[in-house]
Amino acid sequence: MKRLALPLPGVVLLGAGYALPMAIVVWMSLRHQGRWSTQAYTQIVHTPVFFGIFLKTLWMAFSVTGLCALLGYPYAYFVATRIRRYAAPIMMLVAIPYLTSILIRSYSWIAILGSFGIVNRLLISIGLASEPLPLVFSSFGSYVGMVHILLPMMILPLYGALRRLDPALIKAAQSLGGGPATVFWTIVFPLSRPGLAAGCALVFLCALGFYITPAMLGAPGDYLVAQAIEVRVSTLADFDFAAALACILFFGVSGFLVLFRRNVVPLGPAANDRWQSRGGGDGLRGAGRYWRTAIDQVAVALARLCDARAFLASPFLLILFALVLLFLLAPMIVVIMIAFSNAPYLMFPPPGFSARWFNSLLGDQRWRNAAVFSFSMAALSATTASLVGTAYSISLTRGALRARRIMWLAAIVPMILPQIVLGIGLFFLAVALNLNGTIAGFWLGFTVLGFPYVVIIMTAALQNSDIDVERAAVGLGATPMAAFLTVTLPLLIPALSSAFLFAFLAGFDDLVLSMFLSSPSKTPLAMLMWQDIHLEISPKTAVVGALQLAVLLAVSMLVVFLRKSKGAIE
Amino acid sequence: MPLKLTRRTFLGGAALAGGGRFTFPAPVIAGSTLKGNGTVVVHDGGGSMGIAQLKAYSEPFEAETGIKVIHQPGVASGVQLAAVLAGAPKHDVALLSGGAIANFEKDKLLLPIDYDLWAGKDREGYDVVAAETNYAPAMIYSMLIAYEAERLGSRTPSTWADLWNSRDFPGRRTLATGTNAADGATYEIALLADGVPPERLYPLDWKRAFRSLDNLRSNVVKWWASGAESVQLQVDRQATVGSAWNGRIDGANDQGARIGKSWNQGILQWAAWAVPKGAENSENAQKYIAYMSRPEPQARFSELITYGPTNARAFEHLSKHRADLMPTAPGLKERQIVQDYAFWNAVDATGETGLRRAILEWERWVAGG
Repeated sequence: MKRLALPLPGVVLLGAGYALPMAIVVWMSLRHQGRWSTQAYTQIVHTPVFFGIFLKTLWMAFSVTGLCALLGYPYAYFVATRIRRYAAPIMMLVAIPYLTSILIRSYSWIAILGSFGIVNRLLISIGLASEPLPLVFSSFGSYVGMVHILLPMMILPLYGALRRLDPALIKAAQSLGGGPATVFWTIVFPLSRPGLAAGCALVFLCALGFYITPAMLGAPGDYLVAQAIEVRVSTLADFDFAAALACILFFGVSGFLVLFRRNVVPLGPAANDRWQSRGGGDGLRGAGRYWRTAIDQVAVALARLCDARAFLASPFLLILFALVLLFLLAPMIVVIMIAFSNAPYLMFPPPGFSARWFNSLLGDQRWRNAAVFSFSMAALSATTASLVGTAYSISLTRGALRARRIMWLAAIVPMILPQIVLGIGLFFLAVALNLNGTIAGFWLGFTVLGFPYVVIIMTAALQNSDIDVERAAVGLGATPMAAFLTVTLPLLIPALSSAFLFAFLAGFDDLVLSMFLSSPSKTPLAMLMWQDIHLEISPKTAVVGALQLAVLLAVSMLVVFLRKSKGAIE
Repeated sequence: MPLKLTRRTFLGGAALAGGGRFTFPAPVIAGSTLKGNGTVVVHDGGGSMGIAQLKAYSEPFEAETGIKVIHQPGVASGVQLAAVLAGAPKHDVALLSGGAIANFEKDKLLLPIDYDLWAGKDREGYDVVAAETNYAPAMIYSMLIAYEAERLGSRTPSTWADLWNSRDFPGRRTLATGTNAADGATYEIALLADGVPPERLYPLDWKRAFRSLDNLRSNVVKWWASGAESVQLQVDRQATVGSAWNGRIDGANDQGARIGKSWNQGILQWAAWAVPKGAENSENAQKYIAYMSRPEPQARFSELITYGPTNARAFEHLSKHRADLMPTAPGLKERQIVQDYAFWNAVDATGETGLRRAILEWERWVAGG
């Protein structure tokens, strides 16, 4: 009975927030002009261009995941092992890409990468290029935009996993004669795999639902499924066609994930068996096993070769860290400059500086009300998502449930669904339940948006959290609940705060769900920003970004101060 | 909603009993019947348009009638349609672009406009676009040739074909993305540039349009997706020549930009006010729309933003300088082509409406080529 109590709120949330709207979406895809019909599906199958669009979407998602892993892993490794003392404030900076609306962020990238942008001017002035490179409005631009916003989702779970690494293990391996590269490959990397898998899952699934970034920064040929769906909902009101496209994407990808869940889901064997099956519990049999061992042996041999040159690693890591950090922060620098612009419209570089746009924003009653509404709704939903999601994650990692992999997938596959489709499903559900335009509707919608982030981050953190410490506490006389609250939970606070942050930002930045659920008294900030930017891009949206940054910096300084004053041991 | 015995319904009943069409004789009487109470939720276009709506319509309306006007950010037509289907429209007074109306009328999702609240002369004043049963045209705007005045100097583009001419008019281009279908007017532009005379523009020849776009493709820096982008690309000097709505061009120039425009071959488009089925305050919505049909409020609106008034009588109240900026000003109207929304919503030989066809063909073109 107790085992079922923990995941129950999560299951209810998934049922109400995803399963029901998804059922509505499936229903919509099978109704054409008031009658049952599979017309939408047959039309999609008979239009060859959609096959290409699906492939392109999958390919982009894969490549973006790969790029994020390549850039994110060294970054997380560097922060977790080399600069542990400053890790907390640096990791808060990682969330910066999320603090600005997609529209102003895209504009910043255009200001940086455009033909008259910073990068091109630099390249031409130092002679590396004779004419401006097409860094934006090309596929390069798509990748830059997508990696920029998805990289934090790779870094945070990875950092969480690498942070929990027991230094004693590394010392033991070194004392047994392992060189740095070998130790990394044989000890560090396998232990960080849950974090890497969680990061890859987050990035890949999110990337499948992207369309605004490629639409704003990419080449016209970067036409992805989510854009085809969005056009059909917004412009054509072809709901059955849009729903059918979304169902194909959703069921196709999640079906694949369910089939290969043993290899994909970063949940090991049930917690109780961890010690015994740590060696071979990866689910591969026969041929898979053989290739895996072969690759392993080649990799170890390569690692031994690298041991001699391992001293190159430190400066390389430092440079990469600095470059990635610059990459994450660059648009924000542009945004702050724009926020203080004194020009009447958006232009970069700004001709001069003033606080006119701050006054314009803070002086506008509607914007203030919307900001308060957005903030409170996002905070409320993030708290709920964190609580429900953590309970759910605990049951997944400690509960020894047989269905745990399916449950993990159930929590995160909703990220595949383009938000506009989820929005329609939730909207119809909300209207049916009389929740349209109410706080309850927003609360459910935002909680459901934040839940997957919490589950992914917390399961990765709980995986690495040492259950023996908890057992020791229980052995010393604490009840399991007390052991959890006093021992495990404090160690999980970094992961919990990043989970909360992501869930908060998911709600605060949301535009699509808000469009459907809004009413005159319940209008979130994102909607006002969108409305403002639709006709003329004004610097007011940059001001919102700058204000959010100020809040984030204030919170992170507070955290650092509190930790120092409590004398917390890192 | 129970039938309320108001002065309007009494007189309306008397009219029916009288067996004839009864139009109110003078604006004085029409004005007093607009008084009421409660609220009405209106589509807010955002930015300078939202401000213009507030000053020209909402504030005076509130002062005259006592009905409180709530501005609510606009939503895409598909989202509005979904909301109406669910029984909870986002606005009492919705703004729909001309091409989107047919979708609503098809499923009977619009309430008929109550023209009894209007002055008869006002309804007749809608000469460019008629005020029909289910909608009242709100504003007329044009898609024009826009160019960076400084870069091009004395020789400026005057036809769409000049966009395709990069020898005489160097620089990158921008046009609306094809997924904007009718609103972007890109297909009409491509055909006009290819030499199709305006009288033979419709039905659109898709193959010819895409062949024409093929010739421009390599010179397009970006296909813009919103009104803001169309102008921002020129302000940022990413594109030298392109298409943009006249209101956006004037708005940017008011703020200090220097974007030139040409009225030649402009594409005239319009949007309309409508009351969605299920609107909570439909009575107040009708009153608000009736107020906006009057010449003085329309003139006030056009003074604040260069969208053309739909009631020709509004020109009597516009300053000469302002009137010359209106898309429907005499001398400008004739040089432009009115977009044919009937075509865009009609089902063609392949069984698709023009809107769907455009998007399917664009997806094919963008993915394949």
